[in-house]
Amino acid sequence: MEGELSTQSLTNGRLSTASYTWPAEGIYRIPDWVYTSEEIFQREVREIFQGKTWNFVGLEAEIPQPGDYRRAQIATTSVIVVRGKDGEINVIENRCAHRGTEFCRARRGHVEAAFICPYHQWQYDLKGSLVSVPFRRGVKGKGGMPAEFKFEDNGLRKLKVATKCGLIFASFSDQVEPLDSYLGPEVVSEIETMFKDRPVKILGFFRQRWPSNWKLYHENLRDPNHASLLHVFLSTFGLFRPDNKVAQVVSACGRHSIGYSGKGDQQANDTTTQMSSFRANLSLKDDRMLGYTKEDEGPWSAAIQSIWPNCAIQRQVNALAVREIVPKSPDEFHLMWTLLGYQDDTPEMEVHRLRQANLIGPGGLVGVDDSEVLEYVRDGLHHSIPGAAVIRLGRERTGTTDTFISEAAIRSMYEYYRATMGL
Amino acid sequence: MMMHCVGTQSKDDNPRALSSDELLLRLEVDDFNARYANVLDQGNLLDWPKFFSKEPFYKIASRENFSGNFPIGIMYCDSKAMLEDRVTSIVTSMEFSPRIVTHFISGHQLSDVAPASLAVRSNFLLVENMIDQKPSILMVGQYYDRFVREDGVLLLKERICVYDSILIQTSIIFPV
Repeated sequence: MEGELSTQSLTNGRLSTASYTWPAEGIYRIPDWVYTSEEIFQREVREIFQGKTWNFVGLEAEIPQPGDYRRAQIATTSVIVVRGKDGEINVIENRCAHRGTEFCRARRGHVEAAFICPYHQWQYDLKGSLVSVPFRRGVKGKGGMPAEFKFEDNGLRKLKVATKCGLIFASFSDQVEPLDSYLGPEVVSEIETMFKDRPVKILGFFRQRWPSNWKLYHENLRDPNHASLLHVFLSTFGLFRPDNKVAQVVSACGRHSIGYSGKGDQQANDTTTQMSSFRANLSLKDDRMLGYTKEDEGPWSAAIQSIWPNCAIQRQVNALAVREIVPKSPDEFHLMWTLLGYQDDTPEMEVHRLRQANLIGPGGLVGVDDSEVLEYVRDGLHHSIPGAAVIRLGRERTGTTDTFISEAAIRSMYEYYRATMGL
Repeated sequence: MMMHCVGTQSKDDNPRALSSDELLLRLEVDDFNARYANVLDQGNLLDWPKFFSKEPFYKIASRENFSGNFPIGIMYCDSKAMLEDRVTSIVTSMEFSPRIVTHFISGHQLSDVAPASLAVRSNFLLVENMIDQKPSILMVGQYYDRFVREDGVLLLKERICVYDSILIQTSIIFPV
C-alpha cells in the first residue's frame, strides 16, 4: 500500500503518476498532467516564476512620481512596484518581515517615504529596507528587541529589476541573464516598435478570471491556426486570416513568440471555403471599429507577443494592451489587462481605440471566444480519461514559420518548458 | 484603493415626501427597467437597442476605471448602429456556453428632472445560471443613466454600467 502511494499521488482530485513520464512522441504530444497536477504547478511556481526568468510587473507610466506604487502578482507571490526617491524603480515582496502580513492592500497609490505594516508598525523605506520598529528599545527599561536584532537583516525581499521602453520586469533570481538577452532580438524589436520614444497613455484596466491553466493561454497566443477558425469576427472582417501575409516568430530558445498578421479584406475565396465559420454576408452597420490607422513602418497590422512566463503584449489594429498572466492554481489564472493609447493621440484617435477595444477583453467580440474555449479545454481534461494533446500541425518541427497552419511555436514552447522543468 | 467616498450624502438621500408627479416618474423608470431586463433575460437580444434614443452612448466600466477617470469599457458603443452590431455579433459570431442571466434592478435615484430628460442611478445585480453549476453573481454595480423623452417615451441617452465586482468571472457575453 505504501509503495502505491509513493508512485501515485492524488493531485487536484485526480490520480497521476508521480514520475511524470512524457509521452514517447515527444513534443508532438502534451500530456494532461501538465495542466492538471498540483505538484507540477508548485514546481512551475518555483522553477519558472521564481526561477531565472523576468516577470512583467507593470508600466513606468503607472508610477511616474517618487512614492507612486502599484501592486503586482508574480504567480502566487504579491509584490509592490514602487518608484524610489532617486527615481529608480524597486520591486519588493509584499510580506512584512515580522509576521508575514501582506501589508499593502491598495491596488495602487502613493506613499511619502515609507510603507508601514499596520499590524505592529514596522516601517520600510521605498527600497524595502527596514527603517523603524516601535519600542525597539522597550518602554521604561522593559521589553524591546534584543541588542543583536539588526534592521539590515530584516528588510523586505528585494527583486532584481530591469526596464525596457517603459515596461518593468522583475526577477527573483540573481543569476537571471540581462533583460535584453532574455527577451531576445525579436521581442526587443517589437517592444521598440510599440513603445520606443512613444509615451503611453493608460486607458484603463480589465481584470479577468480564467478557469484554465496558464500555459494554455500562452499556447493560444502561439496557435495562430485557431484565430481564423474560432474567431468568426476576426476572419469574417479580414482582421486575421490564413491567406493574409503572416509570420509566427519564435525566439531562439523557444520561450517567446510573436504572431504577426497583415490586414486583409472581407472576401470569399478558396481559403474561406475551408472555414465553416466564415460569414461572407455578415456586415457591420457602424464599421468604424474596423478602421486601421497605420502606426509604424512595418507590414503588420497585428502583433501578438507571448513573453515567457507571464506577459502578453498586443497590438490588434489600433487596440493596444499589455496583459499580466497570474497563475492561481493548475485550473485558474487571472489576466490583468492594461489598455493603452499614446500621449500624443488626438481625441479622435483615443475614441477610436476605445471603440476598437470592443474586440478584446472579457466582453470582447473576439476575446470571449478565447476565455470560453479555454474553459472547455479545462472541462475536457477533467471530465475524461486522461490523455494527451496532439500537436502535429505544420511541416516545421519547431521555430519560426511563415504560415499560420502550424503548431511549431507551441512545440518550441514545450521543448523549452521540458528543459526548464526537467520533464 | 478607496473606490468612492464613504459617508457623503446628498440632499436627495434624506427622507421626504413625494409628489404624485415624482411618483409617476419613478414608476415609469421602474417599468422601463423591468422591460429592459426582460428583453435581455428572455434572450431577445435584437430588441435591446430599442431602449436607446437616436444618438446613444453605452459603456460597461469597472468601478476602478470609472472612479479613476480611465475611459475604457468592456463594451463601448457610441452609436445606435454599434448597439445593433453588438447584439447581431453575439447571435451570429461569438462562441460561448449556453447560460441564462437574470437582472435585478432596484433603488432608483432620480435627479436633474426636466420636462424631457432626467438622470437616474440604479443598482443592478446579474445572476448567471449555467446548466451544470450553481447560480453565481455575474456582476453587481450601478447604472448611471441619462434618459430623454422621444415621442413621449422615455429612452436611454446614456447608460454607463459601473460594476463593483471588478474581477470578471471569465466572460461577459450579453449587454448588462
